Amino acid sequence: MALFRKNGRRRARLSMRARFILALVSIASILLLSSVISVLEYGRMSNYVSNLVAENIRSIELARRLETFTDAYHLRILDEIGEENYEAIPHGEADRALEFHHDSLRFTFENAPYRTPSMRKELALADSLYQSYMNYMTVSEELAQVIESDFTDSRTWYFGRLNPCFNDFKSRNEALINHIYSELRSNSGDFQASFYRSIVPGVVSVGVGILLVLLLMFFILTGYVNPLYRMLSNLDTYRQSGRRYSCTFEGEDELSRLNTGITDVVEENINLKRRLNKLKEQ
Amino acid sequence: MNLKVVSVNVGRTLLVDAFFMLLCMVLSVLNGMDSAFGPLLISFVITFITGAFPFIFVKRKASEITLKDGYLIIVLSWLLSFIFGMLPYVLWGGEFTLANAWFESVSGFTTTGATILTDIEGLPKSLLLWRSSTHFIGGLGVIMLLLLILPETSPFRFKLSSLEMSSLSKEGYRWRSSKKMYVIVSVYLVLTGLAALGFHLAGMSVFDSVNHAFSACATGGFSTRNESIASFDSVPVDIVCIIFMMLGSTHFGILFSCFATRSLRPLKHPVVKYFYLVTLVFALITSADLLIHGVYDSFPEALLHGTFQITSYISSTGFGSADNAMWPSLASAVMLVAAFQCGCSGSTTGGLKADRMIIAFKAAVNQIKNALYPNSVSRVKVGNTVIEDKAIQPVLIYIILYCFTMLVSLFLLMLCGMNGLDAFSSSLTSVANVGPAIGNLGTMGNFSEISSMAKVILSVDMIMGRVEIYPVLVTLAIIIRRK
Repeated sequence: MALFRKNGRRRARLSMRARFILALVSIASILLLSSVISVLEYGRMSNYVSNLVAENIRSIELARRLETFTDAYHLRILDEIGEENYEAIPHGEADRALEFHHDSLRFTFENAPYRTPSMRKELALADSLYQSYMNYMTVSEELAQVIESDFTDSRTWYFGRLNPCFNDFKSRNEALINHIYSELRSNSGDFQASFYRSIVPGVVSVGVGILLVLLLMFFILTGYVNPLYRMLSNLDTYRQSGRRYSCTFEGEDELSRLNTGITDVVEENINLKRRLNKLKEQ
Repeated sequence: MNLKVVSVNVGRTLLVDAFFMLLCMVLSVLNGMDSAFGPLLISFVITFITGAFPFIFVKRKASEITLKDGYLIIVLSWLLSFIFGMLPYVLWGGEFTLANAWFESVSGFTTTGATILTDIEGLPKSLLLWRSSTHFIGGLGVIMLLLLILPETSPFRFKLSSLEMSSLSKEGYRWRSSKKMYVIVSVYLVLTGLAALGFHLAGMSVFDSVNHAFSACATGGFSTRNESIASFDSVPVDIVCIIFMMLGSTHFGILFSCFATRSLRPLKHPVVKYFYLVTLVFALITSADLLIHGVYDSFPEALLHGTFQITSYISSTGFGSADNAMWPSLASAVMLVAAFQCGCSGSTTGGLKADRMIIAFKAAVNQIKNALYPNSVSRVKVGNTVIEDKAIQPVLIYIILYCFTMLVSLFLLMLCGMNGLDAFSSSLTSVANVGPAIGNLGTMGNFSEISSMAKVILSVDMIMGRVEIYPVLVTLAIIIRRK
């Protein structure tokens, strides 16, 4: 199968067969690429947004758990102050909830393919919540000294020192929860948008495919179909009126060689006819 | 219209784009296949196939290019470069929505340098190089790239020359023959190489210096850092940047003359003198204003940042050595005036260009003289060149069209919900291909918060500014008349 034709002297030129094969393979590869891109992109975007939404829901649950644990812890402290009897209160559950919460937010932030201003704000809120919790726990550790001390009024300590820390912690937790809720709303909206976005690259490459098909159609029409029609029309003229076959076009491809061949055959035919007529006349 | 010729020449432009995508892929491989490798590979394949496709059927010796073909080649080359150039962004994802990717691509190829990115440093290096490469390709201009590969004898070549250079600039250097486009390209390449070397010697890494050289010589403005040039916090880097921004906005033919004659005499050309003088005056006014308002404590610091920002705006680059959002109003106004004018023709700068400004000023003075002395014979003369009336008219019409484009986009941006100052400054800096505006959209700001519609309007402004309005209007006229 000859894909290249030697063009007389220097360079090999593409044969007609090679041109069509190359053109169709190009279009096929573009279309194949577009379908692969669409599938991969949709999968990627859908996974990314689903993970974000799931992460938001998990963060809200963890924040609520943290709130419940700290509420209970804070009430236990109030109980102990009322009874003036110190007993160590475990707060491991709250610590773990906070650790989980903080770590998961940081993990999401650090593994995000890109960081939006909203994500940065979320991380800043999580960091400040962490600090606020630590501050509250450090102050709450003073409970044993406060109950044992004769100089410190435990109620004053509770309402004047511990409660503001607790309120600060609560307000920061609430701010973080509100922010995650708004993130959740926005991510749910993005889920729909991500569908449209994921098909864009596919649409672009399909567009390119269509452009190539149109170009191919143009090249076939101007380079092959129109010359064939011209050759046919000239051949018909020759057959009907006996006029010379005078179809010419540029190029050195197979069609051009075919045209040259037809021209030669027609010329020979005309010459033969002339000689036949001469012979008849003689 | 000869579609074969058009498709082949547009294909050549796409092959140039594909070549740069390939270079970025190589960088990605060197960086251990970063996250942009896949997007760049797919974009390369699509762009290469589309660019090479016409060559399957069209013979290498294309027929002559008519004027209509030429205009269509320019517009289609830009348009397809924007579309194929945004593929790596869209496929990579991140902050690049469809509108954002389009905006970034248009901003890159038109050497505007406005960005929608909030975290530039979060991008993989290969994608950062692609951003800068779009500046490099655009800086040379798809027009010039095409001129290099269009047949020498084409009459269209001369039409394009007159578009890219006013008669004033052409007069300024000796290489007026068909070699002038090669001169411009070689000067551009040498300048980029020197800039990369300069930045590296001033303390930048090789990667940063190449990227910033692409941006500075193309008078683009994309940086690899969130805080642009300010993040380097280095006086040598600022100075190197100022030098190459100025050189990038001086007529390349005149720069070549300086090199060839080994003297600075060609810089005495009236347009260049006017451009440098205006830059100096603007820089001094801005620096004084910054010092008076206490933005900077010392004069050298005010002078450095004032000069940097003025050079950045007047060269249509858009780099930032400081956050100009809170700068006093006089300094901001001077920056906008600088952005309105920009540098010399025959360079990579945008805006109205100093040549047109000087002709318009002289024509205005001449008009006043004629009103005072109606019987006198006076002609517009710049340096030793007498400017014919038929040369003045297109300049004035261009200025009117330029202002009209700005005005229309101002109204449309305000319809999109932008405030008056942001809309005015961003439409001005987009048409002038400067990039950053003033206020919230200043050197340290970005265009991420504006609506998608506003991004599309600004990208149209950038395109109109880059191709100098006429080719777009002529192409539209061709399409309408064909109907």
